[in-house]
This record gives sequence, C-alpha cells and structure tokens, in this order.
Amino acid sequence: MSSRERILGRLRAAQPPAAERAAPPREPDRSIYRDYPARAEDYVAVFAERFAALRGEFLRAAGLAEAAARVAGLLAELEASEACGAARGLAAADPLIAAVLAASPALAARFDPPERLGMANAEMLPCLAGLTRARALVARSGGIVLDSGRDGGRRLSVFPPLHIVLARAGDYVASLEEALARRAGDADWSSLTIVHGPSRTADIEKTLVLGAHGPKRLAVIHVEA
Amino acid sequence: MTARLREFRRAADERAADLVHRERIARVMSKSNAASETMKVRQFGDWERARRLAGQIKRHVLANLPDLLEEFERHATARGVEVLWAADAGEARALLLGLARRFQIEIAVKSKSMTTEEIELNAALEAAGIEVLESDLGELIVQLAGTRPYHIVGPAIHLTRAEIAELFHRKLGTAPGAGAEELTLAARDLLRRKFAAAGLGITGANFLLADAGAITVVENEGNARLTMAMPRVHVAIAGIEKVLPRLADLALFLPLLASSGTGQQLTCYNTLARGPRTAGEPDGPEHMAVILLDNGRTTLYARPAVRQALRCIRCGACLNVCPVYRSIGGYTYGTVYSGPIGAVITPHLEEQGRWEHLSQASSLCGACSAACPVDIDLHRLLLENRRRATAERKEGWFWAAALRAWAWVFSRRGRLDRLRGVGRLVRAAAPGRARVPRLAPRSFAQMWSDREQS
Repeated sequence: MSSRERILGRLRAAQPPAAERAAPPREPDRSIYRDYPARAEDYVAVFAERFAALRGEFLRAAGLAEAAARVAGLLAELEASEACGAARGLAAADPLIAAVLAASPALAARFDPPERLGMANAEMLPCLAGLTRARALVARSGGIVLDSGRDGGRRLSVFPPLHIVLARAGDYVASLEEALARRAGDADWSSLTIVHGPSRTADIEKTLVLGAHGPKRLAVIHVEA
Repeated sequence: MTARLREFRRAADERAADLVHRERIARVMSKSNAASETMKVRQFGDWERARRLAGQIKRHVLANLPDLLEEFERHATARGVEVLWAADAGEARALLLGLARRFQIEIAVKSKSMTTEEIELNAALEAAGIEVLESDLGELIVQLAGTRPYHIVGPAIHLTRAEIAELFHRKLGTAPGAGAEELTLAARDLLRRKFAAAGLGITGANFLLADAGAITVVENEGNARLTMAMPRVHVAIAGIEKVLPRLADLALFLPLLASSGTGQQLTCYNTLARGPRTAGEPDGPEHMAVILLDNGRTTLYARPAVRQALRCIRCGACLNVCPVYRSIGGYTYGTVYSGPIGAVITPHLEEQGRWEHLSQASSLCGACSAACPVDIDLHRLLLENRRRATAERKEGWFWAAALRAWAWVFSRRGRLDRLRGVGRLVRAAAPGRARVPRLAPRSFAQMWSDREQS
C-alpha cells in the first residue's frame, strides 16, 4: 500500500460521521473587521496613509512626465545611499510603464526592457531597481498584490533593493478579500504575492531592520490622468 | 514519577532560577504580547467572533480532511505540481533526497519551516553532500550556532545582539560588536549569492488551499519569496493538517496569523505558489513538488478527544502568554514544538510514553486557550493528556487505593466532616508542628445548616 493510500485510509477510518461534515462556514467578510474604508473615493487616501505607516513611500505624479521624474528621483537617491554608479533597473511589460519610460528617453536608457526579465540569476545581481504595476492596491491594509504572470515574474519585485510600483485610480480595492476575489478566477499566475511595505526583520532583539532580503525601499507612484 | 519527568523538572528548575534568562525572555514576550493585543483590537471589530469563525472553519477542515487533501492534490497536480505523500520523517527525507538527486542539486536554500525541523532535514541533506543554508535571519543564527529554534516564530529570541554579533564575527567575519542593521546586511549579502547559485529552494507552507491547489507562505524578510523565485526546483513540505478549503479563507487567516504571531496587521509578504513557471512567465522554478507529511498526525486525528490540536496554525501565541514557557524557556521542553501546543501534540506525534510528562508543564491557567486564534482548548487538552498518561501507566496499588479512598470521602460532605476527628488526632500526635493546620471546631457546612434551622 502506498503512503498516500495509508494516510487517506487512516483519516477516513477516523473521520467523523457524515452529519458533522456539513458545508463550511460562510466565507469571512467585512463584518469581522473594523476600520473598513466605506467609500471608493477614499481608497487612495486610506491606502497612502496605511502604506506610509508601513514605511512605504507614496508619491503622486500629475502625468507621465512627472512620473518619469519621480522614478529618476528615486534612482538618484538610491545611487546616493548605496554609493554606487548609475543605477540600472529592469521593467515589467505594461502599457503604463512603457508610456512613462517613453516620456523620458534618458530614463528609458537606464531600464532593461521586459525581454530581459528572463535573465540568469547571476546577471540579476547588479540590477538595483524593479519597476512594475500591481494587480491591486489594498486600501485597508496598505497592501500591494502582485502576480508572477503580469508583474515581471517572481524575482523583479523582490531581488532588487528598490521596488517601484506604478498605480492608477482603478487599481485600488477596499480590502484583502476583494483583492483575493479579483484574482481567484485568474488562471495565468503560478505565484501571487501580497506585499506590505519594504522587507523587514525583527529577529535580533526584536529590533526592526528594513531591507532584510527583499527591497529596502518600496515606492508607489500614483499616476493621475 | 518517571525518570523523564524527574529530568524535566530538574532542567526546568535550573532554567527558572536563571534570572538573566527569565528577564530576557520576559522582555521579548511582553513586547510581542503588547503588539499582538494592540493589533487584535485595532484590526478586528470583535476578536472573539473572528477566532470562533476561524475555529469553525478549521473544525470543518478536520471533519473533511481526506476529501480536502484529495481536492488540493487534484488542483495542484493540474497546475503541474508533483504531489508526494510521506508517512513519516524518514520517508519525507527520502523523497526530498530523491528529488535532489533527480535534479542534481549541490546547493539548497531553505526558508523558515518547523516541518523541516521536525523531520531533521538539514542533517540528512548535509550527509548526502548537499550544502543547505537557512535563509531566514533567525534560522540562520541558530544554524550557525549549531542549535535549534528556541521558539516556533522567533528562533533566536533567546540570544542578545551582542551574542549574535560575536557569532557572526566568528563565522562570517563581520566586525566585532556589529549592530542589528550591520548583522542583517551581512546575512543579506551572504544569501544573495546563495539564492543566485542554489538549484533547490525548500519551504514549508502555512496553508494549503484546496480550491486553488496553491501553497501559502507567510514571512517578513523576502527570503521565502527568493527561495521560491530563484532556484530551478522548489519543494514545499507541509503537514497534512495545513489545508484550508478556499482561497477566500486567507482573508481571515492571514490577518489572524499576523496579529497573533508577530503583532502585525499582515506580514510583509504573503505568497501563494501553485506550480512551476507558466508559458507566459519570464522566470520561476522549472519544477515544483509538495510533500504532504503525516508523521503521527493521523494518530492524533484518530483520537477525537485531542483532534482539535490539528487546527493549530503555528502562530506561537500560546508560547508567548504561557507562564511556564516564560520561566523555563523553549529548550527545556526538549521537543521541536515547545510551549503549550508542543506539550499537547508531541506525545501523540512521537513514540508513545516518551513525552507524556510535558502535560505537567502547565499551571492550567488557561492563558493559552484564551490566546489561541483558532480557538483550541489547549489547557483542557493538557488535562486530557494527563488523564491518558495516567490511564496508560500502571500506578502502584497504594496510589490506586488512596485515590479511591480520597474520592469516596470527598464526594459526600458528611463523610468529610466525620473525618475531622482524624485531623485532630494527627495534630495531637504531632504537637508544635505548625505545618498541620488547626481545624475549626465546626465546618462551614455545619454552621450554615445551624443557621438555616434557627
């Protein structure tokens, strides 16, 4: 007998009678939480506040050119803090990202195109910035939902020390359950990740340190218009 | 008293008398508990209702466990995941080593996983000539120190910054007296190169989602994400009790685990994985396997009186609030899973007769049951373990007779009152011994009945 049959057999033999196996309790809904953002027009402001509390950086850009300037500004800060030369980044495939990069040829030249997303692990070591969209931004918790299908794969948003997310008004949802409901039916991701702020650890005397293994800095640039 | 209980008490006495250790643990635990309490209130309108709902969902999971596991297997397999079943620790290790051989693995990185501690995976990999590095900072610290996790959520909470700095100085060549930030950076630099070079990434799983065929891994550092993103093979090892029916259940279980485990609203990264990279994806592993581990869980399942212990989501809250854990520390238990939940499950998971004495490591105050986010009645399960241990152990005739006599006397007030003469006799026989308490001339029950009649 295989271990699979043995395990399932032992469970079946001890399983409670059918009457106790009724339908599962209802799915968790908003009623168990407090602080529920009620109005859709508040989502961006609520997100910005919660995201900042998690040490994320929330920036607004009036248009594509300003968004490009914001990205360039973040790269310049990174160069200063890491004491490195011109920081290079890698961008996910997305129309908004393409449009922002097209608005500044100087910036575009510093980003490898999406065709390079499959580069070998060793080649990724010098990549300092990942530029992606997000599947959803969660107002209630300040969370960002990314998937491996459309947000540049699994490495782009976690390996480089700086992760920049471009967002638009339609990307925001109230809560985690709404974000999960949006994604559940999709068939095109092998991995989905929900991010709350830059990477952190408190493993040494419960002292908070940012930038454990993932990005030390995480920025959302909210592009209006 | 068994030899094991005697040894446990000796070690516990010694640890409890170590005031430096106690002060250190109390400080960390108080910080955890305060953060956790604040977050429960801030996040949930009604924490009691939230944990009752979580307990109900988990009860449903246990009632339907074989079916949900098959559903998970069906959906995961359809996404290209290789689902394997391991009856015990030895089989789990053999399956993992088989995968490592098949893909010619030389270097493995591992993210934090108590299940891999349970099956003692690192030693097996090293014996097979495979280099394995812990990627979670706390786990890396205990790996370098050659010890095991002190706490199921905070593996290195018993060490000070100075001790860790000294360890890293010796093993990794960091500056002596380095600060927390510098130490974290040293681990980051070391692991970056390993993530890029490793062929195998090993994780546990906090949840298995039956309807999505996905595993879920909860973390803060990003090391688990990198473990699932960079190596060409990803293997997750999970206990069979980790299944949840629906992806949507994460909306409750992720915040519940975060507030109870680390006092966060949600941890920094909550990641789902269900298979190797798809045709449209630029990266990700070329192979993914999930090993479903029994290792005694079906034994626990077959004992209805303690089955609810399988609801556990390993948040560590019961350790943090336990006055016994806080006094004797994580290592004194001698088990992989320490604290109240460890004392409840270990006697069932491991060889019978070996760990029953741990049910004595409780004041039965019930703080663990009150803290449990999935509503496990932990202190009652400890009592159940005591009952079971007593029933299985052959006590001498004297104890059996004495306990029967005690029960006979104490089950009737009148019998107890008549026994008062015996008490006076004992006192008279030992004059001047203050330890024999003076008995009141009349018992409360007698005085009460006098009052009623007058």
